[in-house]
Amino acid sequence: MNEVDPSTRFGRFVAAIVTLAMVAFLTAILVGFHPIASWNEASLDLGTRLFPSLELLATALAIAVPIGFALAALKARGGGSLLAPAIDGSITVLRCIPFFVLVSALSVVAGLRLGYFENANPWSGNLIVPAVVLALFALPGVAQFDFFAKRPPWRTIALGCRCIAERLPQLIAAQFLVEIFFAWPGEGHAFITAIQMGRLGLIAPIVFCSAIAVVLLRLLVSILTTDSGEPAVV
Amino acid sequence: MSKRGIATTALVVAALALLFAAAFALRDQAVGIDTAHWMGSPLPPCFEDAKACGGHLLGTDPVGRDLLARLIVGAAVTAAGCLAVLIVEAIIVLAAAAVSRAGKIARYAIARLAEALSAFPAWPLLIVVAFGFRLSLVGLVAASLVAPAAIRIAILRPTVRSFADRAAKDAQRIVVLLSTLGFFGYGTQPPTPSLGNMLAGAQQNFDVGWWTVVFPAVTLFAVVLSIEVLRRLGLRRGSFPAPLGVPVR
Repeated sequence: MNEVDPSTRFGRFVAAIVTLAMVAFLTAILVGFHPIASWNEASLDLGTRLFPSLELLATALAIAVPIGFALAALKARGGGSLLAPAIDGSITVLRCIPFFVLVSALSVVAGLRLGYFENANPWSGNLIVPAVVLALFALPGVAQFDFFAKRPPWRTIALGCRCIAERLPQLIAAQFLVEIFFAWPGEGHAFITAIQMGRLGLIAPIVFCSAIAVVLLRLLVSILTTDSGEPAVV
Repeated sequence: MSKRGIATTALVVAALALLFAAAFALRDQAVGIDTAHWMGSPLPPCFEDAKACGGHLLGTDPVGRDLLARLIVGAAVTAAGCLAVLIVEAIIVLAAAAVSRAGKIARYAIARLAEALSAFPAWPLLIVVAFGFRLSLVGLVAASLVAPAAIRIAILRPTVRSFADRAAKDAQRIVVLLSTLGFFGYGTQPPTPSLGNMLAGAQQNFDVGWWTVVFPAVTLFAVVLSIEVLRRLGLRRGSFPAPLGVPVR
């Protein structure tokens, strides 16, 4: 088994290939009994919706990471004061609110207060509102990351990337919710539309592609951090 | 197990026993419509309008069923679902641990399978399973989707403390997953309440009566928060199995 030892770059690559094969197998079992109606239709649908999804995800992370870092810094500096437990408590409370409840409530607020769903309103279709809501999901994870442990900065970045890669499936699931409630034209919106239309054939590529994206990103992070001194994720 | 661990376990068992006993007592009230008072719109809570509430402390849902009874029964149904999924998950983890003892190849295959399972977005896949297959499969798939972290612990660092911590985190995740499923109309079907299906149509119901949405949402939040508090109580003295923010290796 030395040649597939996951602590080496080659081993991680082989592990990712095996994992991809298993993802394909599991997708076939769970979704794939329903044949894909049309590859053209599926690929066109995925292709047009991929960019808005990536745009939303990237914006949410761009919002969550600096705010999370600031909260972590405040928490670290507020050692003996009430600030640290206050931030910790707020993060815990935010983490315990079921995300579908939060998104549902915030979509109502955005609709009523900002007129988000009205075409004539400048907020309509705006990226910032759904991105801020998605950032609320990512924020607890970022804020609880130990940015200030004694280690080189590049290793902190490597560990941070690895954490995001580990939590990516939850982030994608949260993104689906945001896209559904805010009518954002991404993969999540396509997913719920396909469910409502009873077209499981269109769902298989969405689930499969999101799982593949997660495995590939994990592989990328894993390969880039091979020499970070951290042992491989088995 | 430490005294704190035993006390926390006893607290959980007592709370669950009380919840299930209350739910058993209120099961008819939770599904029965109060035809004597209901006039086509939900009755308000007694603290909002004592005369109009018809004796329903937290009011009624949009079709005139006692909200407090539905919340208790809904919490019990959600807790029962969560326990069932946790038991299935424990069986999966035990099986994975047993197989991984067979040798390096088996251990490698189990690790890759766990990694593959952890790559799927959970609730969308569960909706697909609930939609396209039998509902009974949902529990098995939910258990498989939350199991990977526990499988990694079983392979790499099997301690009671790390399993207890993992079980609490998984319980939180399962409650939210089942509720999300219920919210979208899958899982437990009306008139039997669950914390998820009570929130279905929340955006429309909010205009009819805010309490029909706020109380189930607060109850669901309280359930998840309670699990978090119990987790921290049970593991307070020792360190967590992994520093926060660092993935379990």
